[in-house]
Amino acid sequence: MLQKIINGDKEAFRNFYNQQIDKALRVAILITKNRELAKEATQETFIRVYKNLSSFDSSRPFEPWFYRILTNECNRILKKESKTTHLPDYAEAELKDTSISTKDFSELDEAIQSLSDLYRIPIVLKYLKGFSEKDISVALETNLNTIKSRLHKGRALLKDYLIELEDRGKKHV
Amino acid sequence: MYNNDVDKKIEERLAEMSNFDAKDKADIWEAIEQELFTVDNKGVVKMKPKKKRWGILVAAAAAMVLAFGSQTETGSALVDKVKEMFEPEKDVQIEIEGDKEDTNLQLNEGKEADYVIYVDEERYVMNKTETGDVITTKEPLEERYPEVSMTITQVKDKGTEEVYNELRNTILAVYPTIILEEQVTEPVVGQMLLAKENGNEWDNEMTRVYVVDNEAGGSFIIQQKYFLEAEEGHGARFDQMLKEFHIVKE
Repeated sequence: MLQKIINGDKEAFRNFYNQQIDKALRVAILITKNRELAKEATQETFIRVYKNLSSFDSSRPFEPWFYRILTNECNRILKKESKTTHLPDYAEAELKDTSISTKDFSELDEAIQSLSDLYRIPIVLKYLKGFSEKDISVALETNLNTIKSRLHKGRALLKDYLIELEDRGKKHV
Repeated sequence: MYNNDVDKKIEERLAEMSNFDAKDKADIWEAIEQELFTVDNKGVVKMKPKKKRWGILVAAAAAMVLAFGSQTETGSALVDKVKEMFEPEKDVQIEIEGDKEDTNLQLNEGKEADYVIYVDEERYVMNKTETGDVITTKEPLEERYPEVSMTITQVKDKGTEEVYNELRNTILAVYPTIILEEQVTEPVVGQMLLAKENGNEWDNEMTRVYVVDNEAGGSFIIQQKYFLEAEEGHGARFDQMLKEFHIVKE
């Protein structure tokens, strides 16, 4: 399929898009915390992938390369937006609007969103995208041990939060 | 709480938090289709403005034009004038590995005073050598670390596309894995290539190269060298300094 896309086959690119868009857009939403910015980042990612596919080394795994471009695009767009907008306020509001979960779940959502990007992005790539630690390390161009420690710390922070929520729930019973 | 429960709850929440409308997918495809497959897209409403094309947008990110009175002035006189025109130092905020950090940058002029760059002199030093201006760590790194440097050279008689095409093969011979290759508008405007050695060890060598139009028919080549573990540190600091790279025209 990739070779067909390099040759300019629009239908192959459309199929590729259909295969990738769901997870890509979800990851972008969780990184940018804003649906419109996520759409822009995802759109730009597919365009860049199309234009740069011929420089991709096909002996290497494709998806970490794709997500490297996606995370870079999200960061670039966030940086651009932060120059003109106070992003955190409306970004958080945007995600809260869509939350239809229980109070505990919405508190967990806040805990996830409040994690530093250093921990949140590897967590998103692991739990949403299903990447291995090695894939994340390649996608984020960060040393494998660093990724392991960020995943461990991010997960530990969320676990502590969940335990606290559980304890709070027991006290109310 | 069992570990599996934690993992399951995180998965569930991430899925729920990232829900989107089916229309979003259609919108994105439509915009991509217009960008990539529509020949004439004048008047078509797009999600974002079309990117400017390579070769048209060639000025450096914050290129400044200075008028000099005479070409017979000596190099040192030019340097003096450059120094008069730019603030001697700047305080900027930089994000290093997730933490914001205040950094002081000092004005440095290029070898022939045809550009200036603000350098973090607390950590780096700029040396003018035969092969170019080299910004490297003030304190030499231990031997176990690969090279960390940012070298700025100028090719006065070749345009950016020619320089980039020639340079690309040389870079790939040393750094065979291309990570990204694209036109950028930050930290400078130009063509960027990010490549590295094969592998994902902490000390795998990486390079990030920018080719920037010198606004006089030639090109600046800016090559950063560091290693995988240093990308978020030295790599980020080099890019921060490059945001304060200004071309000076005679």
